[in-house]
Amino acid sequence: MFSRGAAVLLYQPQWGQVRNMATLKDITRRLKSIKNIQKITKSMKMVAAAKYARAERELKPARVYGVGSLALYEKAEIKVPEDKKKHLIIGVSSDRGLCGAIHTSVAKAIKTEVSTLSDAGKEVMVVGVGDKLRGLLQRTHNKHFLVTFKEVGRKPPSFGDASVIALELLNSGYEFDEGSVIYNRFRSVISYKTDEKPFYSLDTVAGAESISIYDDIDADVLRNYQEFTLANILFYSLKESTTSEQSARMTAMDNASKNASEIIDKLTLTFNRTRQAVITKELIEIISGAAALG
Amino acid sequence: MGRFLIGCRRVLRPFLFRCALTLAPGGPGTAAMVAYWRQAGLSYIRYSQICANAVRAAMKPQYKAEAEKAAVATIKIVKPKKE
Repeated sequence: MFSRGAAVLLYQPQWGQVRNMATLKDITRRLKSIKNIQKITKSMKMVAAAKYARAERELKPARVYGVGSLALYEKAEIKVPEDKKKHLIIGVSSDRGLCGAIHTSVAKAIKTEVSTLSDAGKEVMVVGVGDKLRGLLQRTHNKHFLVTFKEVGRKPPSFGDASVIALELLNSGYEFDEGSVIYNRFRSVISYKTDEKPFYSLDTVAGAESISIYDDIDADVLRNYQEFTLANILFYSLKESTTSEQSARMTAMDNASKNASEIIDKLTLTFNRTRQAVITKELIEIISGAAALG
Repeated sequence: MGRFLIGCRRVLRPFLFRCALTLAPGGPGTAAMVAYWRQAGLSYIRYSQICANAVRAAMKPQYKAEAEKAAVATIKIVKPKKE
């Protein structure tokens, strides 16, 4: 619309008006399309609000689960020995866009992590949960990608999803020493924060000094616990991530609807002004024609 | 005498632990009880999935439907293309 107006402006500079007599038909067409867009964004906001309510409800028990499973790592203060080389980064996001800065914040965190770790001389592999991450990081970090997962975000995540991811990681053959999960932690309806939670391999945990405090732990129990914790961390981060995503989408669509309403108001005013101008022009033509005759 | 033995075990536990770790899961260790499913080649996640499916199959019909719905995994794996 603007480009056509600008082109006409170039050819006929003596037309003084800025929008160059965008005809009533153009304005009507534009008004109709923006009204449709506003309807769509409003309905997307409603859908996102419903999904957000459900996701937040399901997040409460998942949070307890996730925080509980991470408690061992925090309490035991497991530190990775400095010579460990292999690192794994799992970025948790989703497939669908129109949700604000959800995907870009996770991708940015992954990029900084990869660069710091590569500079420190470690070998890094990236796992992307969600197609958007693959799209964002493919061009620059293609050789770092271990595997990606899609069909995330369509339905609320379940522990089955987390198990699939965990199984794939365990069977992938990439023996990592340390890893971290980067996800968007849900803080409130209007805010989320990109967070990073570490997880360790079996050898690291078994080799930590403080493990010997714990009673009745042998190699098998620890191995089971490690595998289960991996699935647990993924489940927790998936739940948090979907809740953040739905709330961000709700906010984004709300802003889009508000912007659309503003444009509609402005365009309606322009439409009325143009309509009156057209009527005035016709009147002037008629009157000057009549004056010329008589 | 008994107390001495118990104290001895506490000191020795980290060593026993390390010994158990170096052994492959196929063979039983000096102190490690390797589970039967681990010997069969399953991972813990797979084992718990099978158990959970068995529990779901045994549920009463009115609870079974909800449990089945909550358990479905929709995620798909995309292997990166080898260039």
